[in-house]
Amino acid sequence: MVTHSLARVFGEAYLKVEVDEEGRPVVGLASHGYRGFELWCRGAHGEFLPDLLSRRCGVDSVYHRMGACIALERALGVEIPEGAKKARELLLACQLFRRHSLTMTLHVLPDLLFPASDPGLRNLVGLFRVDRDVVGRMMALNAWGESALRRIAGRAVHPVLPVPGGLTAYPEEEALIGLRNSLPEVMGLARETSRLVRMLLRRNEDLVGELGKTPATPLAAATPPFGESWGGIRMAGERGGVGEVQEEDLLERVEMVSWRDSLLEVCRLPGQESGVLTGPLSRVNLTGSYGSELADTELEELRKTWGFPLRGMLLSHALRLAEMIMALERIDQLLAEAASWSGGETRRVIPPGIGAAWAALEGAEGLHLYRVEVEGGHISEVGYLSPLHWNLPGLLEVVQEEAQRAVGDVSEARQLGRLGVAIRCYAPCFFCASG
Amino acid sequence: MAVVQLGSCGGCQLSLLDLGERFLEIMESYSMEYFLMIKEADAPPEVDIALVEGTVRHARHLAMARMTRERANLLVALGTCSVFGGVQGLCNAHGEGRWEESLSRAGAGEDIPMFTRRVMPLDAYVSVDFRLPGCPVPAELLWSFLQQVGEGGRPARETATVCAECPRTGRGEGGGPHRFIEEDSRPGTCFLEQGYLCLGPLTRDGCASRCPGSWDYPCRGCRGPSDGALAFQQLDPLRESLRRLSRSTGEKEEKVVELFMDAPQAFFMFSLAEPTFRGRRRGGTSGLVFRI
Repeated sequence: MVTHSLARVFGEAYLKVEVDEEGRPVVGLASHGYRGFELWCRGAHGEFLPDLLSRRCGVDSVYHRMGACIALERALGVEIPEGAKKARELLLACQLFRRHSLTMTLHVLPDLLFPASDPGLRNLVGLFRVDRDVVGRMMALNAWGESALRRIAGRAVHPVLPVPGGLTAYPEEEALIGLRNSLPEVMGLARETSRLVRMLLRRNEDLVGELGKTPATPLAAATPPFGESWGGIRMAGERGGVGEVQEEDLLERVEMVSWRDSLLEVCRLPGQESGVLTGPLSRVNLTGSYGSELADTELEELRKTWGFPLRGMLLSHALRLAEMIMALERIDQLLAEAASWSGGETRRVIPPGIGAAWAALEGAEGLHLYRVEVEGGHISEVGYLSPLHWNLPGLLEVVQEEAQRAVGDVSEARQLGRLGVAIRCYAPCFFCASG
Repeated sequence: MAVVQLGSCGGCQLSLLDLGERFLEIMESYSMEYFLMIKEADAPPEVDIALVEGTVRHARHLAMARMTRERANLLVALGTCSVFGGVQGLCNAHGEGRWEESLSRAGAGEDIPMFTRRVMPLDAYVSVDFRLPGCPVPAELLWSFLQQVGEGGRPARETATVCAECPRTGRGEGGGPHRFIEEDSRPGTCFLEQGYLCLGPLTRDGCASRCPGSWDYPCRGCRGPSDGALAFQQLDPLRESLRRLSRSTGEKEEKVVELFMDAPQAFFMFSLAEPTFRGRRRGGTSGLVFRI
């Protein structure tokens, strides 16, 4: 039925839907963007690991750099300065905002605004031809995220602020003040966009009701979204919770399976049939709250309309906005206290040694897990699991359901459109997943 | 305009999007015909200008690079991966056996496209009209380039090195060589003079020297080798770095090199795939690249 290079996702992937003799669709998703990070990071000194791993994905480079730093620090038993922890938390909050805003701007909003229109219109370029101002407003959120990362870390893609042991330098006071002054405006814009997205979801109620409602086992780090150390992983769900997974038994719990016709891998948990889910929907269904005022107000609005736990993958887009608002609230708190944490010790030295450790980071799309083995200061082994490694079975389940609905639909544009919408609910990053 | 992605991290495409308001101006000046990150399309059509990010890693990439070349009036290698091979060039330090083992561990079956035996810059496969290195390409340079091309110009830029823009000066107190994370460095003083590896003297400028200048972090060479490093054997990244570290630490070069068991990552993190460095007898990458 369809063979296509996937557009409006991050990275390189191909979707293939074949219809068998009995009219049943068979869905395949492949990515061949393998670059061999695990191979050529080996042998490098630990000081280079953040620079190397950061290049795994430009979109999520902050997570990869930070993950490399934390894994190395844990492997060699180094505690970073308190001020550096706060600065890293600030960076993570800005990255969470920026990553969600990129997904919303580039990939999601055109779908929600014009779900049934021609794919030629249903994107940023098509919208721009119709109304430049709308696109300008859509891009304003991303522009703020980019500028926030640039102010505090020098650049938005591959910044060098976190280093093993702490930070290179604290952001300048002027940059922090400028960032804080810009918060009220962007908060207003984020809340306005959130209202728009909630309204659009109500307008697309049928789609929300149909798309990805299969209950899945949610999975999230036990540490808060901006936490940066191992705190165990929590899991729960209708298909049977498995409690908290600790570092020492992670490898025994997780099974990696190669995905057919692809260089993607899938994380499976023995005892779980399928559908382990990470990301915004998973997090909120585990925590039930964001713990910050405005974000919880957004969540309350969603609960009123859609109930709780939240079902339907499309709702994850509304949660992106809630998490962006939560990030802004946390950024505001951190900036208000900046005088107490900024300007002290930047980093601690990391002596060459032997060790191995995992690091877990809650990224915008879910858990990033890093494993590093070090010997004499040099990397002997490095491993990484991306959010998509967990989400892929669930994603394919939803695509399969959509493909089933699409069989017999005369409009190929509509078939493609709905399959694209289903995939983008998971905001898959093939850059991250196909290292 | 077409924006084409080969084997990459997407960071240079983000640089284009991060131009913000100016990106909207680009969309007004050029008709954006192909840019998979933001719009659906089957294949790049005939365009005036194609920005190609990433390296050719497998047969699909090669077909895409060739198709883009045929259909683009101007082809621009966007980013260090495309211009010099980038970090992916570090694959070249490993033999085919290890690469195949690595592919196999990643789950490669029979239906995957054929991978290239060696990572090469884009201009090893198709002719390139302009090269815009950077990891990612600095947004200001990209903007300035697109403006000039849009006005019918053929931009050229005399390059200097990162040191030309770096505010760090002064002399260290001897000692070293050191690894950056294993010692505390002195702010404001040249890293090399303190005995730390910094590729600033061998790396092209254009980044405003932000890492060493503003972020107290040694240059890793992400803008790619300077014109001097490419043209002159005595400015080879390995040879010249060892010479400078030897001078600042008072140790013999043979002693300094012992610290760098990870020479591919240390001296050629972003340029191991650059063919110019392979033929050099002293320095260069000839001893670091796996011979096919």
